[in-house]
Amino acid sequence: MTETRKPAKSDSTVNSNPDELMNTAYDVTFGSDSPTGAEWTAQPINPIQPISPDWWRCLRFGPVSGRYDGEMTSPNAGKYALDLRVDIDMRHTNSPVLNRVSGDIYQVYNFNWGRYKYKWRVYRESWIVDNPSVSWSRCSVGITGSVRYWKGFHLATGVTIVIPWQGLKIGPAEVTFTSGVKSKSVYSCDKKSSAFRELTLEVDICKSVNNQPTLPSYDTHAHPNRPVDLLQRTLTVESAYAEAGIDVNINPTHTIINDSAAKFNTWSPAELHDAMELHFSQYKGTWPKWHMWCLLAGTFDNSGVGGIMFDAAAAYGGAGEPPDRQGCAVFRNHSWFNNLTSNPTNDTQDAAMRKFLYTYVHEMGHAFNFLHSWDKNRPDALSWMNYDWKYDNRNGTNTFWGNFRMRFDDEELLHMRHGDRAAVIMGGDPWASGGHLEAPPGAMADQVGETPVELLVRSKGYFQFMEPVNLELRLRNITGLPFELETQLNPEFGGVTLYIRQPNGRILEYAPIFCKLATPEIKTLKPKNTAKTGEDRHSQNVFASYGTYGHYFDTPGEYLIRVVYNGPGDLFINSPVHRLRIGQPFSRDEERMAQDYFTYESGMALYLRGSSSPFLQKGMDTLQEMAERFQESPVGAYLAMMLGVNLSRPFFRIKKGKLVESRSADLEEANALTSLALKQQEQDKTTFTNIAYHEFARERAESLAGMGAKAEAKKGLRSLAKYLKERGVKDSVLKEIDTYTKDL
Amino acid sequence: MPALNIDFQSGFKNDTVVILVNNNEVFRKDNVQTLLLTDHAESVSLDIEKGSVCIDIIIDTKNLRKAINADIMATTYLGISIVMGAIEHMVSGEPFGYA
Repeated sequence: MTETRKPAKSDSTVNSNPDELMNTAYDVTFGSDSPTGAEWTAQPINPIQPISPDWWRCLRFGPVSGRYDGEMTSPNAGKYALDLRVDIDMRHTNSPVLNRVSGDIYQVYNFNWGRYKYKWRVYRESWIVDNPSVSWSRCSVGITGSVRYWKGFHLATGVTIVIPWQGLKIGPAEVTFTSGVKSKSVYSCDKKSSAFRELTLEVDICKSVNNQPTLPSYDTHAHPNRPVDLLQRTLTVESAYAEAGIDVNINPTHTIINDSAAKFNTWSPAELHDAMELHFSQYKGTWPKWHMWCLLAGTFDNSGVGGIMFDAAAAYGGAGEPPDRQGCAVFRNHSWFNNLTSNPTNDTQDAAMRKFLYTYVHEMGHAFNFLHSWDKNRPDALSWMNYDWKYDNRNGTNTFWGNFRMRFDDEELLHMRHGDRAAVIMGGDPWASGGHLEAPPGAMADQVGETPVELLVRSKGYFQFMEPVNLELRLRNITGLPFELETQLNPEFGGVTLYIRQPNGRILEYAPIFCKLATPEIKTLKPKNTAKTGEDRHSQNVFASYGTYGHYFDTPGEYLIRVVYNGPGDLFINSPVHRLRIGQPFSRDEERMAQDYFTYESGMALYLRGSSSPFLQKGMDTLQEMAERFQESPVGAYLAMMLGVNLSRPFFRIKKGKLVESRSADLEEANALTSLALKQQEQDKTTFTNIAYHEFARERAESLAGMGAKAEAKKGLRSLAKYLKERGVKDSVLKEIDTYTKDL
Repeated sequence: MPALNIDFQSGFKNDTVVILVNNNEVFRKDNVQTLLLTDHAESVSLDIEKGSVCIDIIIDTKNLRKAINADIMATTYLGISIVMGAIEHMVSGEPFGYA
């Protein structure tokens, strides 16, 4: 009888890796002639070494590596939390040790509302230690290194981690960050898992392809074209990702989606996204989160596609509905799976099962923000993210499967295990943007757990070059109780912060020109279940084009916006990422005009919604010229509307110490300009969002009424109400306009 | 007649592509764009007489041209990519799959 046992050798010296102690194999032969089996002789494969008399005290079952989680113990106990990932010893034979430590820091919030208690964590930032120094002791390991944060400015920071163990109990890890001379923060983190991250996968199945197998299970030795020394094991989606360091839990409930509509043949990315919105149980709620949806479907629009992570920008072939990377699909009718069967008995069937596994793992890999291998300049990578035929074209027929060890490559593992959280988590950074360690970080804060209030950012989505950018910020009560909130959402009042990631990856905090101190505008948002339409929410339009640091949207390309709201008490809410695009200039004329437009004078004039100050005359002239020159475009319409509103009120300035009217209102010209804008709006309904148009019209009416032109003001408001009604705006808003008009 | 299936794959950015078979234009398309998610841009299927053919791939927008001589005896799959500013091709008896 032969049995392999864990090793034993002297560990009396510091800096000896206990894994070496644990992994030295012994052949242990029990005496065949012993009736009790009590006599045996050990025959070490490796040279035997003296056994420490107290070696058993350090016995450890399982790796130190994995995920730890805990809260700050000093100096502010419980105020921050740390998700720690330690990757310093072997977790799986087919999974390399990357010798990294990384973590995510959260701020912990508690909010009490009557007898209800809310607790949530807001993600702050992520960090990594690239090459930590690891010192193994008898019953603990010490890890030290320099912390590299993925974003923002930080003082040089070091970290020391001590992880003790005793038998089955590993941890807690005591983590001490040191920055500056004396600043220390300490966390105590319990071990949660031997994986580094945890994900829940929901797989739904179309009725037309609801035949077994619906999920893959592949014996790595089943097909003869494989590395000769490939470790034999059965790989599933869960085990393939477990080897990579990700715990994937597949929801055992699979919704069967009826796809039998008469005229339906193939799936488009938009239809897949729509199906996800309808059927993914986790779709609602706060994103990003560690949840993913996969649909086993029939056929994609392009029948050559065996699987797709459809949740990406339209320009990449995705559905174009952010946030990205929430879902993928595998197409069972693809020719790859013609010979797919639950119990393969020949090479063709084995190859089909292998491809089935590959497709699931590959598409999920995209959802972790992986590009294909060749798009990362690694065309010869033996990775789930390569194409077999592309690899074979470069390296010879059948070489991919002949050499592929059924794993992600090391760079991908690094990203997946230790990458910046926003770049990895589903619904975080957009696919293919800043998603890899070699790219600039692209994260902004997000929250974990359900908050009592939802904050959303919305906009037109696409803005022409030089078109002023206005964002709609919306707060919504998602509790069952009325909720009082400060509703002034303009960053000028200090309760809201806007973060803008520009196309070059640079993240800016929007800084308004003015800082205003005002009485809070407290409003009670009704509970979501009892509120009539709209009473559970509050929206406000916020101008974001120009601020203290100049023009924020001066380059064509994609921008990401995230908003953070600081409410009464300890309320801290952040929004999901909103993506918008600034278009290219249409003509040389526009490019030339940009020279005058992206200036202080024009920016300030825009910010102030027009001015007759001689100091901003040049800017106003530019805006006036643009309003005329581009009158048949959203840029011109916006500027015409803004200038019209400006002209509808007089301008006062101080002359010789006395406030005098330096320009009187010009109603005729104001009407002419706003009419131009309305004409454009009629031609292109996307020129103004409802809320922007409402705001302009209201502002104009107020100016007119202030000057005594009430009939004109009321006419404008009635026209506004009619227009908004046609656009399907809710009755409560129309009623409010009606009341305001009558009271004018 | 066997089918010649041509897939335009990597490296296309709003390009105009033209296919000539034995000097006859059989396909032309503007704005051919590789989708990063699948590495696929466009597919075209042509019926070809059995035997030797000369297939010219022209990418007008990049001033690229490549002549490919092939013996087409059965259904054939031809993959075309633009790599480092040049046209690359691969021939296969199996359809290319994308994921």
